[in-house]
Amino acid sequence: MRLRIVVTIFLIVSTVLMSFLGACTPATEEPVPPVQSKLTFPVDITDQMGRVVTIEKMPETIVSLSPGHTEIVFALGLEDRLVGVTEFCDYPEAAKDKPKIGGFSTVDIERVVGIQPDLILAANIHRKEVIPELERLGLPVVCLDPTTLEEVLEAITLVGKCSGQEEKASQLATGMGDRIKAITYKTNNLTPAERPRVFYILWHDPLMTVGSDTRIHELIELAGGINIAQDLGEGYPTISLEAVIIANPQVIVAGTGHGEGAVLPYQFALTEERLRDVDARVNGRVYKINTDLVGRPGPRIVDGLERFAEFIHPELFKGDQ
Amino acid sequence: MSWQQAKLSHTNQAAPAAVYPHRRGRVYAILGLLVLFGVMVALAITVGSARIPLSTTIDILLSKLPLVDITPHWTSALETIILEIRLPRIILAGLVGAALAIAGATYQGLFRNPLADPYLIGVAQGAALGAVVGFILPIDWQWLGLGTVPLFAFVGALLSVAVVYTVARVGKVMPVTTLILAGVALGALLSSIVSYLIITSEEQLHGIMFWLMGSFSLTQWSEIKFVLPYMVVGVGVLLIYARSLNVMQLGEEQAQQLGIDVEKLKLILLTAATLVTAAAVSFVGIIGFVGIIIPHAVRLIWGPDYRFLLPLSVLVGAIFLILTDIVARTVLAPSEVPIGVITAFCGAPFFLYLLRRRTKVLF
Amino acid sequence: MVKLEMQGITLAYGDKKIVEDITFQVMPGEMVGLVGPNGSGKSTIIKALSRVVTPYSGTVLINGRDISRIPRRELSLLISVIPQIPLLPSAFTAFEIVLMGRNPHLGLFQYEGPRDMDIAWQAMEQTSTQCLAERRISELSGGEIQCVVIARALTQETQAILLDEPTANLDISRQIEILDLVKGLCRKNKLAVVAALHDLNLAAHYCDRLLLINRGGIHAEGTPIEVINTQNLEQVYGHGSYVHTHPLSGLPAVLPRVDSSRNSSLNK
Repeated sequence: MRLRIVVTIFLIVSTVLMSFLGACTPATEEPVPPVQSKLTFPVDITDQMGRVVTIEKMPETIVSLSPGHTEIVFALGLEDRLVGVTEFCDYPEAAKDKPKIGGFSTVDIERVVGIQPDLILAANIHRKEVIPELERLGLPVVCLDPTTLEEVLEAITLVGKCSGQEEKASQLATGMGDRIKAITYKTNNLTPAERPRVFYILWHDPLMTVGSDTRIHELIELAGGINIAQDLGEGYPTISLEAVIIANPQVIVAGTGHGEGAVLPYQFALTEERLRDVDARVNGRVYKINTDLVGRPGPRIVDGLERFAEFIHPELFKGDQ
Repeated sequence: MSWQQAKLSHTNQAAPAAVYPHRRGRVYAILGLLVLFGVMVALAITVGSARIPLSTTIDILLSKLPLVDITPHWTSALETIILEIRLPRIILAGLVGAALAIAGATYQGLFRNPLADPYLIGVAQGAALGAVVGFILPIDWQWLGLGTVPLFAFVGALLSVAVVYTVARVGKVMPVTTLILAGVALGALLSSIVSYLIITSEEQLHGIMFWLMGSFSLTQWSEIKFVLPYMVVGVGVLLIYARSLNVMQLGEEQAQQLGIDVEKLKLILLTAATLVTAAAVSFVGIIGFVGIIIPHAVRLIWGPDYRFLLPLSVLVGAIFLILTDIVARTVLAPSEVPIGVITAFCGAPFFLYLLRRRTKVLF
Repeated sequence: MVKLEMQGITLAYGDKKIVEDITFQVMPGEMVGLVGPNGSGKSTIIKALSRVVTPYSGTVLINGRDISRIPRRELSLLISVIPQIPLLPSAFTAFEIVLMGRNPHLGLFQYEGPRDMDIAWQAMEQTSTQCLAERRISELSGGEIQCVVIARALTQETQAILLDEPTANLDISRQIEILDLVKGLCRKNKLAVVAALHDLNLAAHYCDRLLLINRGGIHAEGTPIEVINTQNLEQVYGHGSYVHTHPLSGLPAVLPRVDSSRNSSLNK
């Protein structure tokens, strides 16, 4: 019963999306059936930047400009068509063997042009320069810029649509949606008093945390916590150590990233002398999480949510440690 | 012959008190600034993103004095904030402000150039390179409670000046123009290496960028223990040689004829000023404006005599940076603005006002 | 009392030799003038005497001691210099500059005491610069700055004074005043004074002995009457001047030569 509700909600959302696409081939104006799709190309889609892009034919070659997009591509079974990834695309393992087209913010446009891909998946940091440049060179670019969990699911659907893998995308999105629901079902009705104060450390020096418009903030909220930095504004603000002490978080989560400084925020959370009297330290509730799980807008973000749920409400969600 | 009638004998006239180099006024200024410094420290302790009642703050501070017995009526969190976050931060801000100001004044006197600042001969760029290397290397030492970054920065700062000095030296003589040029050139080279390293290591980016802009946000007592000896020794040496620095203003030739060993003095001043600058920069990052403008502001008000310029710069620099740090941590509380961003913001308008008011010669 | 000596001194900037193999002495109580054309090396000799320039070869001795072995501070207690074009920091007052002359007398940790101030003040009185005491250097004229620097040298209270064109910027009354003062001190305190002068008349009037420097060497050495004669002047300076005898002092006076070309320009 619950499953059907979820699926129906999802279908309605998809239909609403598609009805905004304007005059297209008749095939795209039918509400999408739950299983088989008969999508034919060319297709016009609206990406998450609001651009309307025409995909002429089923893309045989795809380039991903972001690790999150790479994960989506793999999850949709399209890895054979993936011919360009960034240097930071490292999940799944096979992604590391794919040809590289530059870094995350430093895309090697020449190389992308050399590949002449049928589809390029870009992210919001490419808005200003990379996407206009690629457009100017006549390459089909789709920008995925999900700011909420919901929009991540939409992004997956979008990729599915662009690549003729609607069925797979729908399955994936649905599955993710289910797991999300499994959590929010328990956390939606928690009173503020039942929600622990959570401090997420993005970096320790300067001490940086997550603002109210970030995906990580949303994850904290969905997992049943309160972000102590929620009034701090947007983006990734710095926070003074004083403010953290006063806020007295009950849970501290440190992001572990890549490179040499990977584990420093976690070490900081565990060893910084001046945090010794904070509830989270006193009760030993200091955790670390791979930032790829919470930072990348891809299939694994629900893994991140589930971890958060285990950290924040261990009594409700038992993890498989 | 008329020279036999020339005025040869002293008329035993004592120099009128008016002509004594304004000593009393300047001594009062030093005392006044000491008081202002105390006020600023007190203000800084009571202000912050956490609201702590004044009486509690006073009680916490008093309780740390020996022989004082106050039963704690505050949480350990408040005590941690006052004694372990705010106090070391304020002290370091004062030390760094003092160091940069006196180093800037010394460089201006040494090079006889009003545009000189403590970073002229490569200290900042050397420290930046050291810090970036410390960020990137997979070593994670802790030495005396200090991390790799500040230690590497300190070494980098000293090394780069040593290189510049070695390049500029010709035999026993070190021409100051050559020193400046070598410093600028090496500084540019190091800067570009730093930029390259930053660009090719994307993930550490925000950490490095913020460090370069300067911040007191996580100051610990261990850092102060490291920095303090260098500051005390360096500032002390500079204050001792203040009169010699006055005579140096006549140019090297006249200074030599008045008994100054110019090469030795240059080496001493250079070393002391570099030491305090390196110590300041290694733990805090690159804070601009203080080193070049504070000495000029002091000159505008109290004149060019280095015997007063140096100690007054120490006090004004300390007060200024403590004040700026207050602004940095309260204006967007509980976020913090990197202090390097604010120093010019706070100081430049006041300095421009000073320039407009005074018409006498500056340098 | 000090005796200055130059022995076999050759001075060069790089490879360019300015003066070669110069030897002379200056006794206490004696005022010796260095005269010669522009660029003949007078200033360089003064610099060598004060150890600002290192000789290419030869030694400078003060009371028999090689000055290159004497620490700077000690040397500045013995010799003071009045430079040709003193560049002074413009924000200091005249009194502060004069007071710097006491620097050699003060240890590292010492400050100027009342006695130092008095000495400086009296030196300013002797040079008629007391009225300038509170004024900043930037406000002073070239001549006033010159007198301030002379006061500074007096404040140094040395046994030897070197002057490098000290009267270049001064009007005639000041020139006489300053040279009177220096000569008087020289006699009274038995100072050794060396003055590089371009004005031959003043040199003849005030100096006990003259050294005529030309083309890197001493062209003539002796009393003013011996050195300043028409023949020497012609050899060194050319034909434009001649030597007359001052009617009152009997000392040489140098005047422009009167000839037809100059006459005709005057008659117009």
